[in-house]
Formats: sequence, C-alpha cells, structure tokens
Amino acid sequence: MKWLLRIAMVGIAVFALWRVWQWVFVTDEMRVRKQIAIMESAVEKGKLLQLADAVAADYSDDWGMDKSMLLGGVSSFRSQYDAIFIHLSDLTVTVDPDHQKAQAVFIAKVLAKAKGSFSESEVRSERFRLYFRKNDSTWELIRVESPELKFD
Amino acid sequence: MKRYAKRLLWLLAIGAAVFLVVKFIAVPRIVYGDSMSPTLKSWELCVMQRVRHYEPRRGDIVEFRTADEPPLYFVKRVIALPGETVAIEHGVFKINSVPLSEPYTTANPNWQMEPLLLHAGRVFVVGDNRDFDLEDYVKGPVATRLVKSRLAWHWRWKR
Repeated sequence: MKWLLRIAMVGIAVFALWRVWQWVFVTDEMRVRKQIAIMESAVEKGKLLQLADAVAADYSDDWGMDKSMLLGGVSSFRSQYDAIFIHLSDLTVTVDPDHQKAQAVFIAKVLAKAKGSFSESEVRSERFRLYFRKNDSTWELIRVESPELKFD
Repeated sequence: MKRYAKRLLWLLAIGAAVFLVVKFIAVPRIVYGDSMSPTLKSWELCVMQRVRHYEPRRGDIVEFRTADEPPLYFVKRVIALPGETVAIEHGVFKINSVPLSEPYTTANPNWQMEPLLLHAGRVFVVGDNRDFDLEDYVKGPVATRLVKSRLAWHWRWKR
C-alpha cells in the first residue's frame, strides 16, 4: 500500500512537472509548428483521420474547398502515387497577441513517386499561408491561402 | 598542437573560399521538375553563375526568385528582351512579329498568347517543356533584378 502511494505521488509529481514545463516552455508557436508537422505527416502517409482532427469544421481555402472536399482531395491526390514526400522550408509562425489565432507561412515542395516508378519527381512547389484558431489547448486549421506569385 | 592549429587554419581558409565562391561566383543547384525538359531534367546537377546586375541575353537559362517573402526560385529560359513584343501563335513564339527558332524544344500548337510589350527591366521567360497547358505553367515577364544566376554548366545523372 505504501509503495502504491509512493508511485501515485511520483506520478502526480511527474504530471505536475510536465504541465509546468508545457506552461513555461512550450509556446503557442511551437504548438502550431507541431500541428503543421502532424498535418504534413498525415498527408504523406494518407492518414485522413489524423488530418481531419487537425482541420476545423468551418475550414475554407483559396480553391473553394470545405473540410470534406479537402479530405477527399488529399485522398484522391495520395492515391495517384506510391509515395509522397513533403519538404517545408522558410516556415514563419506568427501568433496573435490574444493567443487565439495564428498564421504560418512556408514553402512546400512536394515530391512524389508515381505508381510503378523508381524515382520521385517534383509535383509542385508553392507558397502557402495557413490560418489557425485555438480550440482549448489545440490549434485547428481554419483556412489555407496560396498567395499569387509576384515577378515584378 | 601546432600541426592541428595549422590544419584548422587550412580548413577555415578552404571553408571561407567555398563560401565566397558560392556567395559571389557560382552556386550548385539540383533541378526539380520537368519544366525545362529536355534541356534540363529532374535531378540534374547544375552550376549557376551568379549575376549581380543581369544583362539580358536571349536563350539564357536563368534562375530567378519571386518578389515576395519567402521567395520561390525557378529556372527558365529567356525568350524575349526588354522593349520587344512577344506573342505566341499556335505554339510558335514571335518576337516583334518574327517567328523565333527554338531547336531545343517542340512547339505545342495549343499555346496562344496575345502580343505583349516588355517594358524596360523585364524579360519574358518560359520553360523548354511545352507539353503542359499554358495556364498550368510559370511563364511571363520577370523583372531582371529578380534574376539571380545564369546556367553555366550542367551534368546529367541519369542517361
């Protein structure tokens, strides 16, 4: 009984320390970055349920898609290829002062291996702006924009 | 100890030399995508010569960036120069109404574009691969200040 109590005490202490660590060191910016990494991995691996968890019900984007269309589009895109590799670069995350909304801008380079092919080739390279909203302690994706390229 | 210090100095000197060459003279790049095929294919290694103030030359293969942040980089061929009018008729580029000879590619007869006058400081760029639809393609006028380098040499990994 004494050992059980000790284990419970240690568990509570570890949990409390973890919460303090989260509160002090894990910023909203880091959470948004982590959410982007989760979504990137979900698209690469075709894990639609994981992607659905990260996307808000009122999602919208520059291409006129809602949440279900986005998931359908990802599923259809993913099914065309044996493998997809997404490389993100120049990622900048900006959290609003009230810590309820955030924006992320990055360049995504998508490499894909077509079915039966031995090598992957670039499918697209595009700059994206993602908008997030805080929902309890998680950040959900509410909008995606692809800013027009400027050559002047 | 003195020998290690000497080696370290050599390594630093080589590192500094490489940094200066890449920063100001030439930079290696890997081509992604097939928009410049058949001249440049995906995964080919290129050496791009840095340009500070690009002097436009028709036929140059150049690397340029977009004008906003973070920038995207593209490699395309310069087709028309500042002050020229460029048009596409059944896939054939016309510069000041004269058809342009393009031995490096095969024209796509579906490509059409109204005449476009290029203002000073702008060049018209396009990829060598004309198999795509014109709308799905990065092409058009680009400010010469956005041109960062010019193709100096390339090597094909796969034959």
